Amino acid sequence: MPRLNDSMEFGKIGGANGFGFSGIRTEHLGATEYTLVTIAIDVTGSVGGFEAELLRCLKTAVDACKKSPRSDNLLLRVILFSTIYANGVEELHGFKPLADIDPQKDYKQLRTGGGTPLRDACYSAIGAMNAYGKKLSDDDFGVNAIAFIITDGDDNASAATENMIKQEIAQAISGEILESMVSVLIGINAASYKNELEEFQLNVGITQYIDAGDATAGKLARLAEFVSRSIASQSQAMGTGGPSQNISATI
Amino acid sequence: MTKITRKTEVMLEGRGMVELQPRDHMITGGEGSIYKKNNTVIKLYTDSDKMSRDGMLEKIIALKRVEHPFIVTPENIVTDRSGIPIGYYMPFVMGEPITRVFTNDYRARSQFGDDDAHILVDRMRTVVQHVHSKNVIMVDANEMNWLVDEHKKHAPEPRAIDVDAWAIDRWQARVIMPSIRDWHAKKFGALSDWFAWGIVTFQVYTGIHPYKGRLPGYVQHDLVKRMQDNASVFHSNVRLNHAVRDFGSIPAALRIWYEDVFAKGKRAVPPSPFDVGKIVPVCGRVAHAQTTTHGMLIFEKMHESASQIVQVFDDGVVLCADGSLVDVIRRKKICTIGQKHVAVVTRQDGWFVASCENDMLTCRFIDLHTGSEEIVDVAIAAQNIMSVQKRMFIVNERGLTEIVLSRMKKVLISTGNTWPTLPYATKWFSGVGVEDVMGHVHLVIPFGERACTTIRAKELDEITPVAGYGGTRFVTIVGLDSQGMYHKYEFHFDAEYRAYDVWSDVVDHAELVITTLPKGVCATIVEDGTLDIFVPSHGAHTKVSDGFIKTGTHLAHIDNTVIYTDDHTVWRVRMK
Repeated sequence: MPRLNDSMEFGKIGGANGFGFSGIRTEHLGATEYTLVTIAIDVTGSVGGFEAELLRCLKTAVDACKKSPRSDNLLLRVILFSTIYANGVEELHGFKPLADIDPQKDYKQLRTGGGTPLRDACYSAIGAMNAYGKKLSDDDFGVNAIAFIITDGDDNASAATENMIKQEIAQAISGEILESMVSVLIGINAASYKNELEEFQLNVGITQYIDAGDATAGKLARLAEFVSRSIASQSQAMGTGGPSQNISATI
Repeated sequence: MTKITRKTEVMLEGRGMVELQPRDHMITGGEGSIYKKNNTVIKLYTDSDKMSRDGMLEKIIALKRVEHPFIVTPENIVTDRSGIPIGYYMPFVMGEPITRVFTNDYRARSQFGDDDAHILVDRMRTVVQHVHSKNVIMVDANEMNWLVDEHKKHAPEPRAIDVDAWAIDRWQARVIMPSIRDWHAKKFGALSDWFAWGIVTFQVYTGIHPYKGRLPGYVQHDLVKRMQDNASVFHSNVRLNHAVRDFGSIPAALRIWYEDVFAKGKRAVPPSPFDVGKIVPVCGRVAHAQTTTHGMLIFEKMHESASQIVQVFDDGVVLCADGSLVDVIRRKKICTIGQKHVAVVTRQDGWFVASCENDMLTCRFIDLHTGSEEIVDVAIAAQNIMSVQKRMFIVNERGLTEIVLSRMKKVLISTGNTWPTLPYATKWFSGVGVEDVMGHVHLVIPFGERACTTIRAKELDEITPVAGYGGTRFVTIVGLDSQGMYHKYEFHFDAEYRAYDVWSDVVDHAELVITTLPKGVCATIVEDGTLDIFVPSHGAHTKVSDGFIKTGTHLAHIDNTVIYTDDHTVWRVRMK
C-alpha cells in the first residue's frame, strides 16, 4: 500500500518486464480532462557537447507550456534514454501537473554516455500514455496524448521490438482509451541517420518524423517552440474539438 | 506580414511610429501574430491583403459602437512604413484565460469560489447583451476568446477579445469553434451566441463541457454528435469524474436554462445567476463511483485546499495548516487564525470562532454577508475549547462550561451551565471527556440541546485513554492497558444517557477515524479500502470496499451526510 501522503502512483507498461512509469494519483487531479505529454530525450554519448542546449530547449518548452491557457489540463512526463540506465530509460519525472514542475530548479544538468535504446524509449513513451491514460479514462476523465522522442541517432541497444511499439501505437490511436494520440520523432544532428529514422517511424506508426537539423542554439529554440505549440494545439483539440473552423454564411 | 524576425517599425494610426522587436511577440494564430508594446497589443495579419480585401479599416471603425469596459475593441489600424494597413492595435488587458477558471487547481490557487463564478457569469451575460443591443453577433465566442481580470479580489471581470472577428453590418463571421457551435441553428444570431455563452459559462460553474463525460453509445471524440443529439451531462446515464463540480452550485433559474438548452434543445435568452427562479431539487453529480459488494460508494468533491486540512468541524467548516478556516458548504473563507485550539459554531448569518490564547477565551463573529469581523471582549479563563453539535464549551479549573452565543444588535457571549470535572484528571477528546476520579473512570458527554451527563464507565478503569470520540448516543475510546495492548471500547447509550451497552476488542493502533450521524448511523475507517457502516442501536453492520478509502484521513458529518477528508480535499460520501 503506498504511503498516504504520496501523491504519485506507479504502473507497469504492457506485459514487458522492466518498463514502468509513475503518475499523479487521479484523486489529486483538479481538471476534468487532460492531455498527457511525454518528452523523451536522448542522453547517449553522442549528445555530449550539446547537452546544455538540449536541457535549455526542454526548460524553454516546459516554461512555454506553463503559459498556455490550458496549462492546468496538461500532465507531463519526461524520460531520458541511454544504456547508462538500468532499463535503458529513466524517468526524470512521471505524469505531473505543470504547476508542480519548476523546470529551472527541477531539471538538472544532463549526464550523457552509453548507447541508444531508441525503441525502448518509444515503447516507454507510448506505453505509459496508454497505461496511465486507461487509468484516467476508467475514472471518467477525458484524455488525449502527445509524445516527442528526441534523438541524435538510430537504435543500437533496445529490449523492446518494433512490433511491441507498433502494438502500443495501434492501441493509442484506436480511440478506445485516448481520444487521440500524436507522436513525433525528432532527429537532432541526425542527418546521417535520416533514412533509418524515417523507416523506423513508418514501420512502427509514429505520426511524424522531423529533422530538426543541427544542434545549434537557434534550431533548438525553434524546436522548443514547436514542442510547446504542438502541445497547446493537442490540448486545445481535447477541450474544444479543435481550433475554429471555416464556416459558410449559413449553417 | 509574416512574423517579424528583426526590428520593424510600424505606424499606429493616431499615435505614431513604434518599433517592434521579436521579443515583443506574444502568440501567432491562424489569422496573424500578436505583439505587445508597453500597454498596447498589436495584431498583424499574416495575409497582408486582408485589411484592404476585407475592408477591415471600415470594420474597425464600425466596431467602435460596441465599446464597453469588458470588451477589448480595436482602437485603430496599424500600417507599415509605406502606409499600407497591416493590422490594428488595441489596449493590453491583464487577464487569465477563462479556461483556467474551469479547473479546481486554479480555483484553489486563487480562492475563486462560486460567488465569484456568479459575478463573472453575470458580467459575461452583460457583455453579450450589450453586443446584441448594438446589432452585432459574436459568433465564435469560444473559451479562448474570453479572459478574466481578477485584479479586484472576488470581483472578477470578463474581457471579450478577438472582436475583429465578430459579425457586424456587412461583415460576416468566417470561423467558429465546433465545441461552442449551435449545431441545431439554421443561422448565426443572438440565440446561437447565447448557446456559446452557455457552453463557456457552464464550464465556469462545473469544470466540464456540457456534452462531455462518459455516456454509453458515444466515444470520447463524439462531441459534435452528442451536441447534435442533445446528449448532455444531464442525461441520467452520464458518468462524470470527481473533478466535476456539483451542479448544485448553479443558481436554480440558470440551471433550468442550462438543462433546457443542452438536454431539451430549447433556445432562449438566459437568466442572470442573480435572478430568483423557482426552486428545483439540487441536481447532484456522480463524482467517483466504485461498485462494492454492498452497492456503490460515491464521492463528490466539495472543497480542495492548497494547505493541508488539519481539522474538520461539524457543519462543514475545515481548519487548514496555514490557519485558514473555510466553510465548504457556503464555499467561503471565514478567517485566518493563529491558535491551535479552536472551536467554530455556524449560524445562519455567520460564524462564531473561538480560541484559547494565554489560557483565556477569545471569540469573534464573522458576518456571512459582509465578511466583517466583530471581536468580542470576554474575560473567561479557558484551557481548552471545543464545539459539539452546534454548542460551544470551554474547559477550565471549574470543569466544563457551556458558552452561550447570541447576536442581537451586537454579539453577546455569556457563560451557561458548568459541569464540574477534575481539571487534571480529565482527558478531553472530540465530544467526550474521560475523567479518572481516584481510579474510577467516568465519561463526560454533552448531548441534546442543553444537557451533559457524567456516567460511570468501569470498563475503562484500568485503561489509559489515548483517543476518543463522542457522537449521538455513541462514544468510542481507545486506550492502553498495563501490558501495552490497545483496547477499543464502543459505548451505545439509551436516549437519556443513563445506561449503555458496551463492545470492546483488542486493536492494533489507537487511530480513530469515525463519525456518527444524527440519525444514529456510524461510519468508520479501520483499514485502507473499507468503510465500515454500523448502527449501534440494533447492531446492523455493512462493510463497503472502495480503494479510495484510506486510513489517516478524517470523517465528519454535515447533518446526515458523511464527509471524508484527505490531506487537501473534502468529499461528500454516499452509497448509491
